[in-house]
Amino acid sequence: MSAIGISFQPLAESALLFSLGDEIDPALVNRVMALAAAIDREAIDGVTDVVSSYTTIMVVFDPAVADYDALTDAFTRLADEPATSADAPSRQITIPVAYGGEMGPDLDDVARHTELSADEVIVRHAAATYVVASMGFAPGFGFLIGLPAELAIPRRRNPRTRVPAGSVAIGGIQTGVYSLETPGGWNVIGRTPLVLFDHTRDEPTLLQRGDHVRFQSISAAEYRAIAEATPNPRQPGTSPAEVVA
Amino acid sequence: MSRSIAVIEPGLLTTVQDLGRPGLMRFGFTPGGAIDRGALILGNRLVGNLPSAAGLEVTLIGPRLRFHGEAMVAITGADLGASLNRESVPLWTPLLVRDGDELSFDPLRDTKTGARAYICIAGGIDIAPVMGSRSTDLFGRFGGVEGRSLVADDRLPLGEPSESADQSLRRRLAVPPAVPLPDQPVRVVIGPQRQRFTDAGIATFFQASFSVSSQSDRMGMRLSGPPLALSHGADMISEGIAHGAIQVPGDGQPIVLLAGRQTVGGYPKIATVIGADLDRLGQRRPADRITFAEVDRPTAREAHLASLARLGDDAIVSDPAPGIGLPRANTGGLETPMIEREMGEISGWDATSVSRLVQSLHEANVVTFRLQIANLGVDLEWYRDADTGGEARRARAAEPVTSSVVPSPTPPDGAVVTAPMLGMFYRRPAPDQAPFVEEGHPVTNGQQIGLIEVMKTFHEITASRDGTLTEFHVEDGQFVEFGQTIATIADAA
Repeated sequence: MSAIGISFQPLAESALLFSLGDEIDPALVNRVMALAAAIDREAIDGVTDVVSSYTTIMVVFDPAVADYDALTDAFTRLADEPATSADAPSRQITIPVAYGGEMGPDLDDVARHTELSADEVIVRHAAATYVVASMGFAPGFGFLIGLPAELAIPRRRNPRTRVPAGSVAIGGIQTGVYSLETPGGWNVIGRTPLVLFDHTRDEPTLLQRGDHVRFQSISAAEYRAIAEATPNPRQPGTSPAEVVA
Repeated sequence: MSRSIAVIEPGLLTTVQDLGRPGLMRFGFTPGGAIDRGALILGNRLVGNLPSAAGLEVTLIGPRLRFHGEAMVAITGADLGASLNRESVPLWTPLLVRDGDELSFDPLRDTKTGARAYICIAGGIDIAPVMGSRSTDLFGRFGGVEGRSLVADDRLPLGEPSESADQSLRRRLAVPPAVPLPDQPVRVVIGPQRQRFTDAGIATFFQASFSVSSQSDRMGMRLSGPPLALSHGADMISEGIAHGAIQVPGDGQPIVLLAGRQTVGGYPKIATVIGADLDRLGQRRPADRITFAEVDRPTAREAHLASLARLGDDAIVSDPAPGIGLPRANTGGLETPMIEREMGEISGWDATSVSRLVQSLHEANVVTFRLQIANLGVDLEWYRDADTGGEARRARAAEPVTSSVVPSPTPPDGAVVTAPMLGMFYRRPAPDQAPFVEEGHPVTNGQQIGLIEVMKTFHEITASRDGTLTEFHVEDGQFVEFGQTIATIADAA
């Protein structure tokens, strides 16, 4: 690995963006993950957050303690070192999804944009295997790579102010599951009855970085059955009676 | 034991906040915490707390709170009309709140100079921390009180103060709080996606002024103004979002990401607000106007360190402990020997002797006086400017606040419906739906005639009597202030 192609951008005085490329590419994602882990291991004084994504690592620091130039020098040096990724075996997670209808209000838009039938969009979305490339946006939200290229669709021009928790959506060439009811700009094609984030659970988030994920198409009745069997004390708004009715 | 605060009315958006939970962004947790961190830190310092103690963040329309047990309280940030037992109280000052006292916010006394006030209580709000912080994460719905803003009947337990009330009462700010200058631009460092905007888009960003949208919240301040032209579309690969990042979605309207923001996002970011200006930015109200100015990273760092220095231990000074007698400088002409004579003559501390002392002090032109013997305390403050004779009270005189909105004269033959809060007024339930009621149509008392949106919450506006709604005084989608006349209802024809 070499430092060619890396760049740094200051985000005001207390953060910087470390860019390693500008394409979503599994090899690059692996490099970013390994480098973020290496930055963590350095435990640099004043660094508070290391947030990796597909192509970038955002580093938040206390500018009274850590120096911008010293940080970028250290990260450049780490980028030059050979990757020492010691990945644990990936977990396999299957996420059941009720596609379309009220739970997937943008499925028809995706079908129109991709010139596929709605059923074909569902089949292709559920056939692929995805990898959790990055956690973030919201607690428990995983950014998944592996979306079939023909399903890519730009984000909505105006983000929705409310997207229900469990919504399965496509934004650009990324897909993911909204872990909370939040504002969001992705195209919602379905919803899972699983609870992606619950801070009272021992493992608050269903997904972790590096997980392998598949989606499985289910009916509204199956959605209701799984939702009823899934404890969800925090988000009564996603109880099946309200979302399926 | 078990001192607490009971919520009578929650206000618009009142949350428990501290300095947040940094270090967890990699798991998707926003750092969160107070929007105006400086106001929370100074408020905590004024009542002897650590800067990280949990207080209440009050947004635009304040709560009504009842104290159970005595507490030292400092209210900082925006002057939203803070009142103790309906009397106006000063901000940035330790206040002794007694068992049963009611702290509230009077919208008529809101100076409209800020959006968020902080209520800091000695000992802090003693709820269980979640992942290292008591701050409310409204986005993740955890922390604070069940991850939500306060509602009526919530009960907030208070922690043990670190010092006596008397020690806290002697604390004050070393320097008066900065007066916000509305025209001062918000400073930013350009990037990281400078190249995704056209030169015209960048020029617009620095030349135009933007209006704060009523859809703003703790996550982000939505701005509206001339659209910022993107050169490569609004879709990009998601990446980490810094505090103060200004993202621009496809409609070209910027959103400044605040303490409660999402950790990662995929809209181009034109610039990042510098740390030194984040508190001031967070105090901008819906419909306020904002302009931006560019600085470089070293300037941003210097400004940040300087702003942090203003929040340190030195920010607070303690007046010397009062002894028997008064410091000469405070006596306003009263000779110390005279005080000592009075004190010497008072032995039993009954009502008569206290009023004799009060009378002597008043005649001697003493302006402020505090007497504390064992559990008994007297605080006195006279106001010369009001020329109200012997009136003595603890709170400052309420200053009349000139509202920027001149209320319409009440029509003699019809009731008026006034705005119960500031926000965006709508006559329709949704843009593509018919109005709740047309002008000239009959209405019944309690019937919905419109709604007000503020901080992404909606509030029904209802008819105040039976009759005919003769006129709306505000347009659909117009910003209204508290008390502004919305509609006139005449007797039914």
